[in-house]
Amino acid sequence: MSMKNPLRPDTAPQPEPVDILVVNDEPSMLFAVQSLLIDPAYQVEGVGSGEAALRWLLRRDCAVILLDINMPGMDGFETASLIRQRDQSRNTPIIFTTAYRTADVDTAQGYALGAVDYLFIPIVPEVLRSKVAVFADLFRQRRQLARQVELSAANHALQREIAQRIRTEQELHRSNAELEQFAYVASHDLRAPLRGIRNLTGWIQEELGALALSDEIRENLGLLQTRVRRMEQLIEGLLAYSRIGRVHGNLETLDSGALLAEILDLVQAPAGFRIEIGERMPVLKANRTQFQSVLQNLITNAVKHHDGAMGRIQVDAIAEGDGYRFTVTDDGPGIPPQHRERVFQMFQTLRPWDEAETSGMGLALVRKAVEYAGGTITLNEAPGGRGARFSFTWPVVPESIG
Amino acid sequence: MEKTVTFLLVEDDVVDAKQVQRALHKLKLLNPIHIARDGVEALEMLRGEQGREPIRSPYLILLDLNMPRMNGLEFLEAIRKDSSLSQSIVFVLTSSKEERDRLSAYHHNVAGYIVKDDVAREGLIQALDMIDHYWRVVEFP
Repeated sequence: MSMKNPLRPDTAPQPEPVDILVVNDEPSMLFAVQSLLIDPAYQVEGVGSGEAALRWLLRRDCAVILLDINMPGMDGFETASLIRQRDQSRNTPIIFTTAYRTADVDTAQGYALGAVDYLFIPIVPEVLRSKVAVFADLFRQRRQLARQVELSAANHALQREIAQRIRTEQELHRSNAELEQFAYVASHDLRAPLRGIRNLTGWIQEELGALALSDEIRENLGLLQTRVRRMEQLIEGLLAYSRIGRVHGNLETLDSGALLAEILDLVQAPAGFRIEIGERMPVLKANRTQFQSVLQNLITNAVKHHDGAMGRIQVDAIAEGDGYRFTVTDDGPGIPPQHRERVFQMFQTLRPWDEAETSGMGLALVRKAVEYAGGTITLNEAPGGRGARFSFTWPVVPESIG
Repeated sequence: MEKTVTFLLVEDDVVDAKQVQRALHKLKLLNPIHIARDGVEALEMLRGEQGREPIRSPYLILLDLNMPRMNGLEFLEAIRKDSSLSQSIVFVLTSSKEERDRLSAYHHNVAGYIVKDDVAREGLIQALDMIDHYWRVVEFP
């Protein structure tokens, strides 16, 4: 709001101008006062009547009102009285201007109405300017003070909010630590008896192996075993799923090509399968455990759900936006459109889990990990008509965060 | 090696204990094996308290971690403090690789780890096979 004075361009920028209201029914007087007060520090508004002054004061505030006493209709005193009745202008300084330098002027009445001063016409320019300057300064100071109070209040509010947020963050850390502890203990304590059951059923099978068991008994023992295995997978899957977003692993610089080579070793696809990795796989900064689990799950799924003895899986990546887009494409039976959302949900499988031997957690985990990293994952038909293509984005982490 | 190594299995879970015994049986290891249900009982056995005959060297301890009264880590602390027991050879039985990783902070000079939960169920047997060769080859204190 401060502007350089065009008449004195070499000086420092002027402070924000204050408003001055001049009320006089005689246009020549208005003009005279306004000209005397030309200054970049002042914004002088002239009005021709008490009513006009009141209307102006409805919208604006000013440092001082130069109010003529002798006006037709509503005179200066009446105007002053009405100005004083309004909350917003109750304390605005009023300087009465009057032509009568005589005892007829009821100065007592003027002061009683809240005038702070009188100016007698003919106006001595220096007197006018110095009186206006006093009130302009006062106004500026009060405005500055008001702003500082506002700022201080805002500051306090901000500090309270920061303190609140720190407390919330601490609570979150504590809660996460508790959750991690709970998840670990729960999964650990759940797995122990499962291990026992698995062992015992295995031993029973062994001991009874030589005997002529009914098919029914054999089948039931087998079902027992698979159910135990399933529980173990579920617990592990749940634990891993709950960890995403809660356990903040470190970000490492990963060579996705090298990582994929490792994954291929782990996946151990059957002989007829060809897994092709794109030529220029990017190096990126990511949480190794999660990034690896995403790719590993997708590739393992592609192999597991393939309906043939021979399969081809392609893994590729391109730069996209501020990160990369990875695709895993297979030529298996594909996933019909009506199931494409469902497969990402927890515990969902498309075949009875007995056959599929999966926990149903894999894709839920994949999606959660991708979204936690800030990306999105979609499932479409593979180009070429047969198979599925999983496509996910993985944003690049800005240096400052990693 | 003239003397036969005695196994002291410190394990509270009945089925886990059975697993070790069956594995030893499969390997045709005929070493004497004692079973303690927790660290307190194990110490009594080693020291010959409560009217028992103390377990004589050479012996090898297979130690589970989660037990009542005195768990595996507390047991390890106790034997390291006891000069007559501090040289014991201990293999820790852990129920998951995760648990094993968590132990890496503990420098208790364990001779090795055996993961009970091994998906390849022969894992325990292979580990015990390794122990079998270990005591045949290594000088016991």
